[in-house]
Amino acid sequence: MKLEAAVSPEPYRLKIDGKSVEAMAGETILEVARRVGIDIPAMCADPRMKPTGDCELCNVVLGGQADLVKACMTVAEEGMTVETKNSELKALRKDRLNTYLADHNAYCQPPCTDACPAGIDIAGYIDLILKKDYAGSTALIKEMLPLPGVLGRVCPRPCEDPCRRVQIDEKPVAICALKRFAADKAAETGLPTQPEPKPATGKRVAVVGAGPTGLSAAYYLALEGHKVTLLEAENKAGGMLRFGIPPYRLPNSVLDQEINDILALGVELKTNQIMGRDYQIDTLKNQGFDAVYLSIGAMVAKPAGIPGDDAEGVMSAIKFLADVNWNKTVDVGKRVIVIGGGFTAADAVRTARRVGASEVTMMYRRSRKEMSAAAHEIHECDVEGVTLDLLTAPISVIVENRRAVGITSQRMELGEPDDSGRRRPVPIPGSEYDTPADTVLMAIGQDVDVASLNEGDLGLDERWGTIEVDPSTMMTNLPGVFSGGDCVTGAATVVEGVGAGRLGAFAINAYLNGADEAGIAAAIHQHKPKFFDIGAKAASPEPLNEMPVLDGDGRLKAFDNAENGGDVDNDEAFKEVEVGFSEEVALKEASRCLMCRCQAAGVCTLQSLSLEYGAGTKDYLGKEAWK
Amino acid sequence: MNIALKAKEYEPVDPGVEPPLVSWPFFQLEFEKCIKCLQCVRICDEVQHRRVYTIEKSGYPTLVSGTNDFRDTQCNNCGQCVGVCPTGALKDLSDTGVLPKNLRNKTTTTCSYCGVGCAIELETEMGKVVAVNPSLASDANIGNLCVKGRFGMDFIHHPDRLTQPLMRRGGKDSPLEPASWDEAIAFTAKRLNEVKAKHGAHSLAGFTSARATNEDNFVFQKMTRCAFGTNNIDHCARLCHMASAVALKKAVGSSAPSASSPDVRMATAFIVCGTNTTVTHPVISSQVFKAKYESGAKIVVIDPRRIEMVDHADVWLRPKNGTNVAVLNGLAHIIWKAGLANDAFIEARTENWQNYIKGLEKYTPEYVEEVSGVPKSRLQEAALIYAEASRGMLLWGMGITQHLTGVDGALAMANLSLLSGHVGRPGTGFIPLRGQSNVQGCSDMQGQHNNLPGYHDIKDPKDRAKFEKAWGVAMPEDDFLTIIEMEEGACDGNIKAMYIMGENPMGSSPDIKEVEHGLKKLEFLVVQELFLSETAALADVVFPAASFAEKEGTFTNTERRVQLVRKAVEPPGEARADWEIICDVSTAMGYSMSYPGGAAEIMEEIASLVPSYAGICHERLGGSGLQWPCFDTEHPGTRFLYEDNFPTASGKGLFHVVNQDDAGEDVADDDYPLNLSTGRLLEHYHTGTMSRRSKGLDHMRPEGEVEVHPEDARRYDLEDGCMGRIVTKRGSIDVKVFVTDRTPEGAIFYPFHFAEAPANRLTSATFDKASQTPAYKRTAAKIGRVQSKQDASAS
Repeated sequence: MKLEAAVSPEPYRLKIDGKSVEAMAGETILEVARRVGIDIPAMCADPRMKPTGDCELCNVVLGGQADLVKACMTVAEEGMTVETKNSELKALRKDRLNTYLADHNAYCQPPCTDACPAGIDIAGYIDLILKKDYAGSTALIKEMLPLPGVLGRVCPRPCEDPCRRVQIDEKPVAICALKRFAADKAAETGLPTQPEPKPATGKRVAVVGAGPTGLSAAYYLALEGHKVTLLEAENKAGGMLRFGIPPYRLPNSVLDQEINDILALGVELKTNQIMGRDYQIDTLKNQGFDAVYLSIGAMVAKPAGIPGDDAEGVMSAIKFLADVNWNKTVDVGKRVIVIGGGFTAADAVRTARRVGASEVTMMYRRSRKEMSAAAHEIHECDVEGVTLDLLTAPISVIVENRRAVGITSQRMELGEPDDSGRRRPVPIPGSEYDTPADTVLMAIGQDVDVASLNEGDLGLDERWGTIEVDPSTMMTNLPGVFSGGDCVTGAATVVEGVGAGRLGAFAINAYLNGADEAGIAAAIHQHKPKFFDIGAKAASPEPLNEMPVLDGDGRLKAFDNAENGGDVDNDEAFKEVEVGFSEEVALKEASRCLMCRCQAAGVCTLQSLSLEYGAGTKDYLGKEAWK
Repeated sequence: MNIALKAKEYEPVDPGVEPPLVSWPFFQLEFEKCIKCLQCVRICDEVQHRRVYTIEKSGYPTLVSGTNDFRDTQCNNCGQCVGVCPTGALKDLSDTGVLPKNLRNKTTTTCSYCGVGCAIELETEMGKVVAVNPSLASDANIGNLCVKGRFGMDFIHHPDRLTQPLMRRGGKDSPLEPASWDEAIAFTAKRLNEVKAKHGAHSLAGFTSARATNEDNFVFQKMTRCAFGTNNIDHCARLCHMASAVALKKAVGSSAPSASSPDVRMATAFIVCGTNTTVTHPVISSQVFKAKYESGAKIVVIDPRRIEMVDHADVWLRPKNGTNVAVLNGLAHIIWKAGLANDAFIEARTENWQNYIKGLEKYTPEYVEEVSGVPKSRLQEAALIYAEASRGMLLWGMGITQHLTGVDGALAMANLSLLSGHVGRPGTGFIPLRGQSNVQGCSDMQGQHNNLPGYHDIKDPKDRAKFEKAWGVAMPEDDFLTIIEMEEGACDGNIKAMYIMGENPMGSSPDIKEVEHGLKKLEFLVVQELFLSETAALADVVFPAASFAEKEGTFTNTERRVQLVRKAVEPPGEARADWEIICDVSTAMGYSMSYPGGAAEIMEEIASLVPSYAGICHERLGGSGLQWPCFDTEHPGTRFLYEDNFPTASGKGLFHVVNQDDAGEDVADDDYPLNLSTGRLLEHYHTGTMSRRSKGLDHMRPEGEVEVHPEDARRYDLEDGCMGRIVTKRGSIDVKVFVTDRTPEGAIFYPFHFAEAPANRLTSATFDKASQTPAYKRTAAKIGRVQSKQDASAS
């Protein structure tokens, strides 16, 4: 029809959504609309086939006609008035899409990958675990994060919260534990898990601070062929991973192995290099570095700001953890109070138990639910005999002879939620009470050591005490000087830091390749998918496979025999608590993954229309089985 | 990166769900994502017309075989169902990307396989082509694709790709070693100039490629004429459609196909002669089906083999091999005698009618039946279908041209068209189906029969002056040599150096033992290639060339449609676009060429010299491209030719008397009782340098099989799957036997894609007199059983 028309074109006019358009003889309303850029939804109309109108999405209103017509099957006529969008059509289309979705028991993009600050292809690596390709699985993880064994142990697992498996059996897939399994297995086999670096570019990059962010940046920069020098103030790389996280959670051997893998790419590590003392940003440039990445972390404990906090026996939890990890003798006495409810507080109480303290109390101003330490960490605190004193806030340190002997605190109750969504603690007047202690450890957050930067020109965020960068390029106000991780965001999680390191590497790589601001921004731009609800479906519920841990009683016995100041790497009390999955359990757990991922995501007609019309619902689940 | 590849191969969702329907390694249908829209079922049935899908009671698509494997059905992996699926239920297993599809880079370009010129969309990620989509951009394919276009592009990133120049520093016996571009180009120029100085310009020859762009070809012929100083240039159309080109030039004044894809879709009757269209030009065949099944067009198939098109034919004429001319004359005779000739058209638009019908007299249905074996009743039916149609269309292929009487066959087709007046109107005409992405363009650029670009006559002083002025050198005066003559020249010492761009005569030319002998005898051989082909392995210098996905340019398809080839990824290693290499070699030889504006600038020069391309420039080629002739930058292009007149001297079409003639054909005899015909398979292309390096395509057809009729199988003690030895006067090869009545009794068919058992070890370098197209369809052969290890293990 159209072809004949092309031979003798006689265009005529009609109105679609108020817009006057020209049509050729024989053209359908849908064809006219598509040609002039008016969007009429359609699932089945394809120019290669005759229209059938089956999908019913292209229903439109014709002027002066009560019944809807199908745009794909209605030939345009002179003087027609067509309405393609109104609330009735919208409701009909949504209903129609929901019918389609009832048959569609799949999901476009994995919500876990979206929630992961490093953007790991989680379904991908779990799939490779199922195929028993553990080195391949680890290699896939390493495309986004160079420390799979470390993160497989210490990650706070934001990925597991949105896991769609929860809809089926209330527990997410043990994503993190599977990551550890893959990494440990790959390390056992010794098979390669990282690609060869690209040919050398001749460009040099200085990365300041060898914590998770700096290590990650170094890794991806080295893979791009740049010569990287890591400048570390301590005598070993690792940053917070080494002295902030105790060995019973992250054995030093695992950390060392993964750092060595990064250095094996030709990354140079210079330890005991303190900025301001041994070098400055300017001198780095003079030494021939083409770019600098600042990843100095947030290493200084926040002051508690209560009377007596300068007394002997009061120290920061961070310093305490570092001292223990460096095998220094730390005498905390028998009674230890830790103030705070985060990861550092949980690490501090459990470490205190391991260095001889028998009465350890964790004081937190809100309830168990609001604690930012992971639930399984809190559970381990319970197992290890830590007392949780909740809904309480310290008012002052009780000091005798310049030495702390306890804490005066006040009971709290929970009020309205604050900005973070957690309920605000409100003091209860007259509820003050005292708790005796030999040592008080403060774990209420960390700040960036801005003083150490000693760089007048570097732009800082005065309010938060962090390094200021253009968020779209990660560049500071100094050309070629980039920054990311805790020193930019304030203290955050390891996985956020590692993700920032990778993006920083891409930003620097783009910069070194001569990209302008827009080019750098494009190199690190993260695409976030849009989601809509499709109910998850599985053949049968499969309960979560719990991470096996060392027996509680055995641990308590080891604590009694612990040697304060001994070698933590060989101390029974500091033995890794989480044992890791056996192959059998790992495969079983991996098979719980629903593989929420589809090749058509982003180009799927059903997806785009469902998002546009607000379709998608879990209501249909179970009503109509798909076969 | 391999790592990323693996991640894509997810297992089906959870245990307990229905296993997918699989067409390994191309695609699979996963039910958990299927919404029962049945678009896949429809496109397979309504566009491809294959018996693959059916619908279950539950409303889900399923396979007619009742199994989960598409191999059990007629599926030929075109993947049209994948393209039409509105969700991800039909998953492309060849997709190696990691990013969601909407975040990948996409480049619309033109497929580099056959001459249909389908628009495709290359999806790229991290500098690699990771998937191919059909594109609705071009009227040539309106969104349709075949298995090669959709799943055959992985050759682009095959590890065998050449990444740096190679050369033999120590003469013929030294190994091919990596070299820098500077060294290789300087060496090549020096050696070519030495040969030229010693033996004269006409000892040099160029062999260009119908798979390279117009721009590449234009620059190549310019180098041959200006730097080499000879007209010795040819391309592989010599081996396929030169017979058609010669015939059409004689009959209607131009060698080009007259009609277009839209005309195919509009035609009401087809004569499909000597083209296995569903295999060689699958997307054209689906448009023939569209005309038949949506508008009731009738189809006449003329072919000795029971090709797939026969299943869709209204009449099938099965002539004995090599009796085309008799059959076509027979049809003309019937039309004429029945008074169905288009007298008005003959009167107004043609010449030589009287002579022609005198020649036709003897081709009575009875006589034709006797010669060809086609029953006269069938001839009657076929003739009436074409003559009585309102819009008749002729499609032909190698079955017409690859005979000693190739030109006569094509003239007989042209006669039919003129006789019925089925030309010069929408939906009518004739298309000799071009086999390669740019055969038409290659002819347009490089010329043939002593032609300069745009078919300017090299003997005509006016035409010579035009090019001499543009290029600043005198045009050579010699008579040119054809490919076959060049190869013979190499053997007998007249040709001393050869420059081969993107061709593999060691696979494609007849009698390759002789070809090898000649190429080895050359003083200097340069080959420019994607891979170290059998030909490149003999070269003194090998230049690594960019593939179609790695450069800019244009292809001219079988409908004269000039379409853009766009760069989607960088070439591997140091590989460069063909035209860039040619410019450097030419400059080093002393004739300076450079195009800082890239391929677009070359097209500007083409437009300035070739009148039918005058209005063509890269900016105008979005969407469907432009069909030449396109005389100025306002001209919309020309969908079909000869509306008003023919570009002959008189402006009229010329009837030619042609006769059935077997003289000199390699006909079967007592020693070689079978007729061997060679041709293509759906899954492979030409000598297989590209398609054999595609994982999926080679998986489908890992080896060539000789088709043998069941009666002949019985006679020569062969069974399906056993190893057979084909022997001709030229040589012999051992191949697997496929017993089928697809091939007629007394004839065997063997595809020419397989280097390990090359068909052209069997064929002879006998050719049509006027066009020098080899008679690949007729070689006398015998076949016997081979006792071999493979045979023992064959089931």
